[in-house]
Amino acid sequence: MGFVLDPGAASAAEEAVVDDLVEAAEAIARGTARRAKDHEYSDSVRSERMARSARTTTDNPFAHLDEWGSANNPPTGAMRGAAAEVGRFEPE
Amino acid sequence: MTLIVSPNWLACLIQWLLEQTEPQALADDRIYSEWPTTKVMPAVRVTRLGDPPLDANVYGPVECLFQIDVLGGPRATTDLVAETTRALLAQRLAGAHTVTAGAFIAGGVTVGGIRSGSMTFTSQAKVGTATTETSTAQPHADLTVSVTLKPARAVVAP
Repeated sequence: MGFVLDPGAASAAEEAVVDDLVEAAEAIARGTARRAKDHEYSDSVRSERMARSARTTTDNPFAHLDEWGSANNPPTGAMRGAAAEVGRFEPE
Repeated sequence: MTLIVSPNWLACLIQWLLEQTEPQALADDRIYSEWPTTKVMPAVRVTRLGDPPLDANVYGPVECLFQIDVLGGPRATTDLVAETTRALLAQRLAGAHTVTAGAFIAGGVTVGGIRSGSMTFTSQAKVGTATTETSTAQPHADLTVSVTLKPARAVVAP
């Protein structure tokens, strides 16, 4: 008879990892809100738990102008900067 | 007790880029931290987005995040300058360098993708010589690069 892994162990471990990711996503959301110049961008940042991951999002249509900059405004890189502060950030 | 103070990482990166021959050939040394009033194209702007310490317990190495903007075309030139800058960062930045802003060691260079678009700005010079205030759209490209940087002792010639 072979060794059978406790079927609950894998999902418990996964749950713990997702908890950590949710915490990281929340920290990125807080960091983004702190760094953004436009308060409407700050107010629009949300973090949410996904099935096996977590994410930080914004639905603000002008967030890219704050994040990436425009002709007269240097980029704040608010979300990228917050992600780099929380952990290893590899730009895509 | 010695206080470790990092050099100005933005100045270090810009000065290092200016030392390379390729940007000089393509953008005639127009690499800035802010867009100048009179914009001659193509031009490059470097922005430092953040530099969190690599290790919370050790002061020195930082994971520095930069955004590189390239403005001015034609489109193919904009993309060529962006791609050349990215290639320089990816292939030559790692190592020890000494520039006016300070001596530094760079490693862990991770370059991101190039976004191509256009940007409308108000300028006193349309392209080079016009003196009237004008609003014009120009090709634009940007990319993000993450670099692990730490201060180094300046190399002293023997």
